[in-house]
This record gives sequence, C-alpha cells and structure tokens, in this order.
Amino acid sequence: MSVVADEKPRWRLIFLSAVLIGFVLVLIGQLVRWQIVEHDRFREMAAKEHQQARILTPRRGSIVDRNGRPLAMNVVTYEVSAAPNLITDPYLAADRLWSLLGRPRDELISVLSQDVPYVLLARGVPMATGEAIMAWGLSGINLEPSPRRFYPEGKLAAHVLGFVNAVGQGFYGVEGFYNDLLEGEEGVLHGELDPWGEIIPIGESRWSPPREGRSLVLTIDRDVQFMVEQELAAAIERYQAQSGTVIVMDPNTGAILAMASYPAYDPNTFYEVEDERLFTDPASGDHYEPGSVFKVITLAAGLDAGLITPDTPFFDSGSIEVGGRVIQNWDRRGHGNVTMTDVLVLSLNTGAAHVSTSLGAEQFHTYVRRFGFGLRTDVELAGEVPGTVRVPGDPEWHESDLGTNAFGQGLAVTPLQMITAVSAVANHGLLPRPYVVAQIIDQERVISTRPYLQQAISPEAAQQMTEMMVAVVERGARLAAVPGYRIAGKTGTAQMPIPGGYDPNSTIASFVGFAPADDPQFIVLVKIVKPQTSPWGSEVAAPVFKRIAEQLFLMMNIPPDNVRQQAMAVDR
Amino acid sequence: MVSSRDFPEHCQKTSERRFEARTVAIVALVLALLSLVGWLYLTQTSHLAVTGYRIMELEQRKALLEEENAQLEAEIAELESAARLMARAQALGFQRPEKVTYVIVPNYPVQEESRDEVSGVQRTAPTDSAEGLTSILARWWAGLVAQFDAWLQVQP
Repeated sequence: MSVVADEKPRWRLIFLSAVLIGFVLVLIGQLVRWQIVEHDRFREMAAKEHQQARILTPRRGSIVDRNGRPLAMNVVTYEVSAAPNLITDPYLAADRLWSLLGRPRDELISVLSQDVPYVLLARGVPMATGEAIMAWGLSGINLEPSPRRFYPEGKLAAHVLGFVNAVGQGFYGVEGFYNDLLEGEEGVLHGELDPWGEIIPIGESRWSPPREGRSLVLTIDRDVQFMVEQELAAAIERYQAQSGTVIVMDPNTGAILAMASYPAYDPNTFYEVEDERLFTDPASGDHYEPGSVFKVITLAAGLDAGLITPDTPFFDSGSIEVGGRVIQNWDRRGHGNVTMTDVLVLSLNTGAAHVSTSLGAEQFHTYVRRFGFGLRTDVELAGEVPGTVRVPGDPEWHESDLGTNAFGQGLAVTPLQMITAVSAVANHGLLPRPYVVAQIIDQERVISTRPYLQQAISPEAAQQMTEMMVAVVERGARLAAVPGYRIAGKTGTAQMPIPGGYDPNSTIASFVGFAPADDPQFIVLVKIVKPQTSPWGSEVAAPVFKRIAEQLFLMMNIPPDNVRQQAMAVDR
Repeated sequence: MVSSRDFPEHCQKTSERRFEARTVAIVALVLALLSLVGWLYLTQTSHLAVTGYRIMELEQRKALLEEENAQLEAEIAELESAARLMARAQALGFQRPEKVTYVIVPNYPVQEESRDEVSGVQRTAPTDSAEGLTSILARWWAGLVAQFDAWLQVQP
C-alpha cells in the first residue's frame, strides 16, 4: 500500500516554520540590539530609572568683621508659586496669602482665577512665612526653598562686601574676589532609589561629600565703619556734594578698618539698582586726580634722595615753567623766600614742581612707582584699577607732566593707592599692602593674612616728612586739628578734568592725615566730590577728618599725647 | 568473621531507622541553621534598612534645624545691627561723651598683645601662616588668665 502525501499540509508546515523562524530571528535581532548594539543606552536608561546622582550643595561661607560680627550670612527663603487651574477656591487662597505676600487682594484673586498651570507669586519669602503657608496645605499653592545671601547690616560696607546673585555667584567686593573660596565645592551622592524616589540606605551607593565654603574674617571694624558712613553721609549733605569716600587704615600693617563710599546700595536688594556703576567701589575701582595731597609724595622723594631738607630755602616767584608750560600757585601769588616745610604748609605748586624737576623725570617716576602708583595694590576686592601714571617713554608723556605730576595733576590714582602711599610716611618709610581679609577659616584651619611691607623711603625721610605734615595741620589746615593730639596731614583741592581742560566749577576736596604723629595708630583719607559750599579741601575735607579722628581716639582707646607720654614715663 | 547477612533482620531494620533518623536530624539541623542564618540576615537587613531610613530622616531634620538656626542667627544679627542699636540708643537718651578723662594707674599691667588688639596692630613677620583653631583659643585663654592674674596683683 502506498501513501500519497498531501502537499498542502507540508506547505503549511513549511510556512509555519518559516514564520516561527522569522519570529525567532526578529527576537534574536532584538536581543542583539538590546544586549549588544544599544547595551550602553539601555543600561543608562535603567540606571536612570533606579539610580540617582544627587548634587550636594555646599553652604556658602559667611563673612564677619574683625570682632566676629556677621556681615554676610545665608538664610533660606521660599519661592511661592501657584497652579491656578488646580485651585478650587481662589478667594480663600487670596484671603490667606495677600497680606503675607504683600500683594493686593484683588490682584491676587484675578491671578489665581486664571486657567493656567503656573504663576509665580513671590520670591524671597521669609522662612517663617513660608512655613505658615505650608501649614495651611492650600491645594495648588507650591513652595520651593532656595538659599539666599543675607546682609544683616544692610548698606553697611556694601562696596567692600559686594553681593551674591540668585544663582549663588558673587560679584564685586570680597564676594566677587573670593567667590571660589566662599562658594565651596559641590558633592554628589550616587545611590539606588526606592519606589518613593528616596535613596535606599543599604543599596549600592557612592558618596563624595561637599566641601563647605570657607568663611572670611575681615579687617573691617563694624562700629568704625558705621561711624565713618554716618560722618560721610552728614558731610555730603552739609557740603551739598555729589559723592564721597573715606578710608580708615592701620598704617603699620595696611589693615583697612573702614572703607565707605557715598552713595551706596543695599546688597540685599542689589537687583533694584538702576545704574550699575553704583556697584563699583570708588575707593579701589575708580581713580581721580589727587591734587595737592600728592605733594607729600614729591617732597618725600626729595627728602629721601637727599635733595632737600625741611629747611631748604626756595624762592617762590609765583610761577615756574616746566616743559613749556607755566605752573602757578593756587592763589596766583608769589610767596618769596620760603622753606620746603612752607612749600607744604602753603601748598605751593611752584615749590613741588621745583623738587620734581630737580629730581629729574626718571628718578621722580621711580619714586612714584615705589609708592605704588600706577600699580594695583592687590587688595582683595574685585574690580581694582591701577590708575594712570604717564612715564617718560609713553607716547602721551610730555615734559610738562614732570611739573604737573608734582602737585597731583596729570595723573590718576585710586583713593586706596593714595592712603597707602601716605601710610609709608607714617610707617617709617615702609609701604604696606592694604588688605581687607584678616583670616580665612577653612573648617578647623585658620589662615591668617600677615602684613606685607616694602621700603619706599628711608625712616629718616619719613620722620622729616611727618614733621612737615604736622606743621601743615598746626599752621595751615587747622580745621583738621584735634586738641591734645599731634596730627600729621595734608589737604588737596583737585580740579576735575573734562575734555579739553579742567572744569572751572568743580573740585575734589580731600584730606589725608594720621595720628598720633609720633606713634601712628590710624590714617584717614577723606575725599568729597563736587562740594558746593566751598571748593577747598581745607574747608570741606579737613573738618570731616577731625570729626572722624575725634571718635577714633575714643573707639581705639588712644589717650591724648600728654597722657600717653606721662603713662610711658610712669612705666619707665 | 561475621557478615551482614548474619545479623537478624530486625537488627538491620533498626540500624536503617537510626540512620534515617540521624539523616533527618542532620537535615533538620542544617535547615534550622540555615533558617537561623536567614532570619538573622533578614532581621539585620531589615534593621539596617529601618535604621538607614531613620538616619536619613534625622539628617533631614538636622538640615531643617540648621536652616532654622541660620534664620534665627540672621534675625539676631539684624536686631543687633549698628543702625538699629544707634537708633535704640538715641531713643533711650544716650549721647556721645563730650569730655573724656584719662587716669594714669602706676604699674598697671597692660599686655602688649591686648594693646595691639585694641589698636588693631599686628606686629608680626610679613609672611602667610596657618595655625589650628584650638591653638588660637588656647593662646587666647592663657592670655586672658594671665591678664586676670596681673590685675589681681595691682595695688589699689
């Protein structure tokens, strides 16, 4: 018996086999794709699903004054937003929120009645307020915590501190200069997630801790800073001036005790400032022609070079020609036979130009550099400028610059450079490097800044210059004198350059002085821009110096000279 | 010599039963041990997990307390700000002293260091240095004690 095969079933079998083989091949292909070709992508997707790298944000370091009083710290604030389309009763929500958020009730009702998924209601809401809103559990109201920099003293020392923006970046002042140190370094926590999105404590995890930001201890004394700011603001009002700057420094070390400028801003609300130029620190980031205060540098150079003594005679005819330019005295008068001390007391441009030309351009500018002009002081403040000093060889330099530079014209310096240079006279000829950060605290480690000094002139020249400056206060700028104390100082009345010359109606009145003259404990520079009641440094800046010095004697516990000398005699 | 065939049948059965009982006992023991190890492992793991979550919870609580502490410190700092203190002092009738009288006390011991601190002068070498916070505190404490000792020795 023969069996006749049915052709149809065989074909069906072959077809079914082919389909199955095809299906298996697709499966294999897909497996190859999943396991080999796109292995990394799927692995990454799986890891994302079950693992998370959580960024650990470091806390920004705080800033305190020399006595530990906080000047900049961190607080948590809330960003309050709403999802109006999820709010069932906008009237109830508005009733509860309007007073806490400081927004009109009606405005809030209309905002919350919209059919939109997101509306920002307020930023920077204090922590207590945010927690109160959270406790109500209003549906559709969301609160997101965000760290914020807080300056408890408000405007105080704003230019020294700078500010921190919404994303934690420091700008200007020490916040800008030391941003990298203050902000610290982020850490990261890699771990497996549980169904609630929390990292499983016993799961596989890697932890790299954040490095907290380092804290700064400033040389600034909060109380001195406050007093100086008050006196400066009062002076600006009294003399109807445009702006002003006062710096108080320890001449022995360069530590800045106070540095105030007016107008200032509140770093808590830096974003409300319309003119960004207000952020620049006028003490270190802005320059000016110093005027007669610079004669201290010229005559100190002459003393150090052995060219003059305090008693060297000079005949003042009232004018002197340097490089084809005729230089006259401020009073357009000749004073006849005078000494170098008289040149400083009477602030004679002719005498100063005589000294600079006698020194010669090269030697004069060597001294100018040695006192730090034309170079940054390297103070730890963002945005410091070096000023402008033309020297022989520069395309813009003119021979007449040698004469005008001698009395502070034709060059631009920062107030910080000026006070630092005169500090060298107070400090036995040693030029300090000004600094505002006394210590950097890195957890348990404290790094102290020590003063850096370099010899600008000899101690003998510095001593002679000090006595000449004492004569200025005793015989000339008497409004700077404080009874019972010997004070060394010099006034300056600088014209303000405008295109094509100098503004005949505007001046910068300044005074720099230190005390006690025999053992200087502080040096103060006062700079008042465009005073309206009087243009003169002796009438505008000197009295401000006096008021500040009087209070510094008390705050720094410096007794009058006779008491101090008696005490020293008793000690011996 | 005695072969197994020489044992009576009931003896052989007894021996097999003993063997079975021993085997069962060993297996039971192993199972019990494994269960114990498993129980211990699970207990420890569970305990660890619970403790881990508790630690996380405490860390979150700590972070919250630190934030609240920072907030309170900020409030204190604001309340102690110079502008606020000045306004308060003026409201209470305080004034700047018009005249200050200094008294010279013979042999009054003033340490050079404390005098420098008052005047803000640091007479140190022009170098950068680093020292521990502990040593700074220890030095400060020793200085304070020495100052008290010196005061006690002053003759009125």
